[in-house]
Amino acid sequence: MSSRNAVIDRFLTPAHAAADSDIDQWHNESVQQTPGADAWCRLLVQPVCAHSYRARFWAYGPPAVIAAADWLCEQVERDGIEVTARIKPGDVAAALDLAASERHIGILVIDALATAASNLGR
Amino acid sequence: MSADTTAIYLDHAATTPMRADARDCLQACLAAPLGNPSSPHGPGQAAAARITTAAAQLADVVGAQADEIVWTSGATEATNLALRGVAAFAERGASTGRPVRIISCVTEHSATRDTLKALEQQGVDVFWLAVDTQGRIDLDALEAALAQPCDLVSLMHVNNETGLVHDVARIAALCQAHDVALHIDAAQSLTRLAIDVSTTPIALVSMSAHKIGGPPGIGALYVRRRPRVGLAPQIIGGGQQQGRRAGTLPTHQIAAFGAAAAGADAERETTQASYRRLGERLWHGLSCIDGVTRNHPPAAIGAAPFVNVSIAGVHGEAIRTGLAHGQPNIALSGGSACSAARGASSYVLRAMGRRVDAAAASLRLTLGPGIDEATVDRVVVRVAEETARLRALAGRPA
Repeated sequence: MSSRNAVIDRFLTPAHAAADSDIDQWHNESVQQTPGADAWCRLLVQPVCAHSYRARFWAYGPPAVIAAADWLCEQVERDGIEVTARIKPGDVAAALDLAASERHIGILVIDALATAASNLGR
Repeated sequence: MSADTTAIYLDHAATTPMRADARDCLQACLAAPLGNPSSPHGPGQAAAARITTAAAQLADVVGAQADEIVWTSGATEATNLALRGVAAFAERGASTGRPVRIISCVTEHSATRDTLKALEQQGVDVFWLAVDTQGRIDLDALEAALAQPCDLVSLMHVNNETGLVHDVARIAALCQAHDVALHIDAAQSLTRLAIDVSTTPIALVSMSAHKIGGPPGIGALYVRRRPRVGLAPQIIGGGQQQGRRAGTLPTHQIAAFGAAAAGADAERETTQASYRRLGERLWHGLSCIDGVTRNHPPAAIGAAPFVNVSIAGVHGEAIRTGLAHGQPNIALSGGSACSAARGASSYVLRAMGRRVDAAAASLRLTLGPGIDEATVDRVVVRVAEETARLRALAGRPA
């Protein structure tokens, strides 16, 4: 798929969208929103076993926010939270071919993950 | 084509599919041995005859004379010619010592807004009228503004986002009483509403072909002959159109514009009545979705094809994208197609007092040929489905 189609495809059929019933099963979550509340992302991360995690999201915003949240959850489940935590906003933008005006979306989802990760130790 | 991949086009305020009569006319022109309409030889005169016919057709729709029609590349150029042309003419002959003054409205199309903002940079004094929650201007405020010397009032007939119809008859009467020329942007009203410059004192009217089933790339400006309105040309380099707008005329586009105008106007009453019924059905269906608010005005002051709503709890870009890619995919917009290109929330809805998030989450659905009750019902179901999907993606508040 082309990069721009990656946004559309993930937006239309995100694989890691949280179900409403998930809320009681997840204890390590985090919410981040943009200053203007035009978008927000809520990440849910749960350890399955050593270095293995499940990740889900709720998000509100333009399609790129949904796509970025879904992509980040995929990285967490594939590479673990320690590796994913090293992802930079530019990596999100490059993976999804985000426009310059959408670069803040990478920051949004990474901040959400960082907080979720810090909550894991509590 | 299966039903699942059917596209439903509800963006007729942005552009319309070409009418069969316009397409036939355009193709006939392209196939004919037509010359440059400015040339005196046979092929040139054949082209000129086609243009004369089109001018008569378009003039007839608005109650004008054929020689009062100036062809342009579209309504945007027509509006630029009207605003810049009046400002330049007034400045050229200025002996009053005051700056050129133009009255307009905050909810105008960007063709007007941006042109007036550019003119402001050049020293033109622009007075911006505010609107109420329905998008109407206050006629008392207009009259108060007209109390000061003024060169032009420029307003749109039908708002391109909400379909609000300005009361042109009363506005024109006020302008006439103050001896001020009135420019009307009729891009959204041509062949949708009656326009008669022979009975309504309007000096200038911007018109577009592609909004009425004609080809893109052609428009016109009606320029009143008597009493004369001063207009300095903005494109020079030839004596075409009595020096009002230079450039070789595109015969095929002009002929098709004339055919579209004549055809659409002949069907006006029937089609608009149909769009009114369908629009009410569409609004009734959408209003049953939780969190939907109405942005388009009541029928008494609204153009029939327009339905504009905001949906709480969903992001505007998200729902428009979801609808555009869903099954069936629905082509609509959040506001002006010209504003969509900038990615901004609707300044029209914000001027009407809507919250920024509501202005950003608006859907403009404009009816046109080929839409029936069944299609409207499918759209309602699809909007409800997509709204539910996006709200589920957003989850419950944290």
